[in-house]
Amino acid sequence: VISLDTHITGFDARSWHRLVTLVAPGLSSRAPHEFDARAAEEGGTLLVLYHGERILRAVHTHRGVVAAGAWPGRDDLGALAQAHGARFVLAAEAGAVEELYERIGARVRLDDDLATTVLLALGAARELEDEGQLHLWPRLVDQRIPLPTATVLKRTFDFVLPDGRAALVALFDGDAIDTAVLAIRRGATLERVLGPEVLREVVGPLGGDFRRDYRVIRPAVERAFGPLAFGVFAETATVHALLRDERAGVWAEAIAARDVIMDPMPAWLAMAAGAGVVRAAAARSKGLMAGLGILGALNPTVRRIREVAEAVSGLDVERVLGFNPFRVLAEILRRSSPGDRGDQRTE
Amino acid sequence: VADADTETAPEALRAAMVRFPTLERARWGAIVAALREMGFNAIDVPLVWREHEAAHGVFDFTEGSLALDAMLATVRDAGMAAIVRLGPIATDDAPGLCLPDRVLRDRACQARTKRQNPVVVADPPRLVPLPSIASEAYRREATAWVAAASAALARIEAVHGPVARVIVGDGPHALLRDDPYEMDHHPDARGELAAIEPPHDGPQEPGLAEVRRERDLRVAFCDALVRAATEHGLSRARIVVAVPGAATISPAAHQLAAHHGLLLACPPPIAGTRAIWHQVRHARALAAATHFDVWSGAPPYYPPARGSHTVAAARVALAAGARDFTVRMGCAGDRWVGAVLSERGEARPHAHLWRELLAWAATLPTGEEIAADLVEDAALVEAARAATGVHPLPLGLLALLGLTPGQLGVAGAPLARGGTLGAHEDALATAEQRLIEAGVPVRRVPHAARGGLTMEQGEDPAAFAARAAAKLAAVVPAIEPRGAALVRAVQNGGRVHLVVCSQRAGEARVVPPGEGWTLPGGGTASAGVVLAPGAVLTLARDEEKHARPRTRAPRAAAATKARSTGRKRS
Repeated sequence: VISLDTHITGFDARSWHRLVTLVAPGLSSRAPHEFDARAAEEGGTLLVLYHGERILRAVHTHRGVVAAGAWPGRDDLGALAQAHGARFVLAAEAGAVEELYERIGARVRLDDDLATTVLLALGAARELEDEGQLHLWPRLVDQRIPLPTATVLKRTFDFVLPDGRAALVALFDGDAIDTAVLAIRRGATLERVLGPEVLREVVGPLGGDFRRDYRVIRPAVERAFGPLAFGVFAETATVHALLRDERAGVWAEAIAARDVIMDPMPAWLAMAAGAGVVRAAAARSKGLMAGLGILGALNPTVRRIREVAEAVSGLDVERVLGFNPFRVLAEILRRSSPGDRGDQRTE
Repeated sequence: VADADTETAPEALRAAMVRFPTLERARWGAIVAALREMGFNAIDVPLVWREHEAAHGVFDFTEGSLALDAMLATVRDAGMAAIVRLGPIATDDAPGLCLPDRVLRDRACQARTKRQNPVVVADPPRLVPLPSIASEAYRREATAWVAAASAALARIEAVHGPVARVIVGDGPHALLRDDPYEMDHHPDARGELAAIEPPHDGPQEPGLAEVRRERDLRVAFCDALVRAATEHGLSRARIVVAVPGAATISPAAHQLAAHHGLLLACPPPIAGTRAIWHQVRHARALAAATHFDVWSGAPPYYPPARGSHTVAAARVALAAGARDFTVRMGCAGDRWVGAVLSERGEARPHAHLWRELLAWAATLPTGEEIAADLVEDAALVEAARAATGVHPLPLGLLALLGLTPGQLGVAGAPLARGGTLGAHEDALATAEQRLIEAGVPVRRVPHAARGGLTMEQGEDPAAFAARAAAKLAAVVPAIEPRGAALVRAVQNGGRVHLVVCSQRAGEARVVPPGEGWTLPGGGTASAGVVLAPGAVLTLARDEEKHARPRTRAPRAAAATKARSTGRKRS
């Protein structure tokens, strides 16, 4: 996806922080003087290094070194997490991390692309987990599910963002663009990843309502950078809530209610929006149609969902990868500390 | 020489880094002017080896966007000082650790694990092999690069005048692999020596030998780079050495500080006020000249930091005594998010906070420190490193994030001076906590100042805290809630200054000790001052008119006396 030739520009600190903490709230920034307050909060990850039955060091990501007695064993990591107010535990037996480094060092090559590199590293970590030397609590993905191959990931990338196309996510805070990312693909990888500064420059003044502004943004972006494969327009707060909602079909409901506008909306995005509801739409479920209301059902976007669902029924990201990445993400986000802390636009 | 303002530059260097090869050359002038207008007085330019190497051994410093002479002329024309970094690992926004791929690929240059695999580190989107500073092949390559860059810079200096500072060495940012047992097993590093495991709380001698070997390799590498620079025309007096990670856990930093100025990274905002304060105070006591890197944004694969938080972290560093510093990044055209200026040279939303901070920085006091000192000497640092309890995680990075040497090592590890690492850390931490709660200026320092106020070995921490509070009473403010702020006291000629830095999310009330303390604007502070969360308060008192501190370090007293010769002392 990203290579050495990918240019990343156009992000100020605030817009980048807003974007990243949407999907990784645990990385949320804190002012130096907030350290003690953060340490007092529930959450974070506990890193444990143990040798035999003894814990050598336990480090909490919010609190630093914490006292921990005997190694409780893999099955009691939940209790250990609870005792330290952590939501995740990553534990390694003495020598395991070194072994992980050895295996990665032996396998990775300088010319490997990002997908290959990540899969090699995850594969080595999975081996050590299977060998009982590395432990993650809670287990987010069933251990029996094999990692996807680099070829599968490449095909998925081709599917999501074909060569020569761009993808846009523009998120609004009230009447202004809050954060955005525009990814442009040329050849095998992304050529440019651009932030809201570039978007504002290309689009110019906006009316202040994303439900109307998307009609201005899309053609302006396509004139400047080429055709969009997909575009997502919404309030940041809406996406924040949707990402944490594990119920099936919430994205489709949000699209139907025009809380999220997808334009253009390719087939895979319709599926990702909530396979269950979309399939129901494909089957002309009375319940779904009632839920959407007459106006909703007549909405072009909802009609599009239904058309797409009919065209792609059977395509299922869970079936491709062996697990539902959106459900895993929602589980992580649900456990993570609150991300955004109301940063000011003046920053 | 410790913590005196003996930097080579007469004026504090307040620099912004500019990655000029990634920016349109036509914008250089506007970018430099914008940074000058904000209050920066220097531009820091890292030279990235892989960008300037046109072919093996052929370097370009003159063409197009690589024109160092044109960039330095722009800086000079703006009336600003220039800082040039030669690396080899000069900045963390450039891919491949700044090294050409041919060097990364050369197995003779690669650091090795115990099983002779490459030591790879994250350099998104790749994992790249870390070079071995012990490798003869890599040293030849690295010194050849520094020699070529130095020669080019010397030619430019002959035309445009000297730059203010040259920085050589890797870093300053923590590398992700720095464990003494896991790397480096390059044949040039260890010869026929067998690999060993960390001793934890067993006999420490084999571990200490590993740590000292690692230290000596780093020092020899840095010395070779300095030699290459000076032999090719650069002034030794203007060179400082970059140290990766944190000096508090680096025996190499302790050794290098005896002969070189140091460049060190400030911890990021998320490390907290105390970690930043601690690192800066320690470094200022360690090296005669210290240059700090503070953050504005980061490469996109680092955890994100809000603009106001990076400014707040810089404020803590300055309050703790950082004098010369570089804001990374002032302006970059790629692979950096959150620089002060956009890629087009326009001020970002948080730029006004930097402007305010730079104006405030010029008002901060300098002089001799008055403090209660807790010593973490080189022997303790070596012992903690040898007894690492986080093997093979990076000690430098964890120290930068706030872990002390005593926390990084296994508690039961024996110390040569007697006792265990854990007991020593408990004593230091207890004394430090009590001193902070009492509002006493306190430092963790690398060595005891002769005759200074230092906790003695075996002294009860509570007793030392009480002794220090009594002896330094004249510079100990009352702070409510207790421990809500950190205190620094500075003596400069006939004036004593207090710098009080909030470290809590709530307000604090500061009542200075005795009469005569004034605020920067001239108002009196005797009745007390409310300190906002994260704020820094500076107070000053004219010592000639008011009671002097009852006790302070004799070295500081001697310095003051020397400056005040012939003047009647109260």
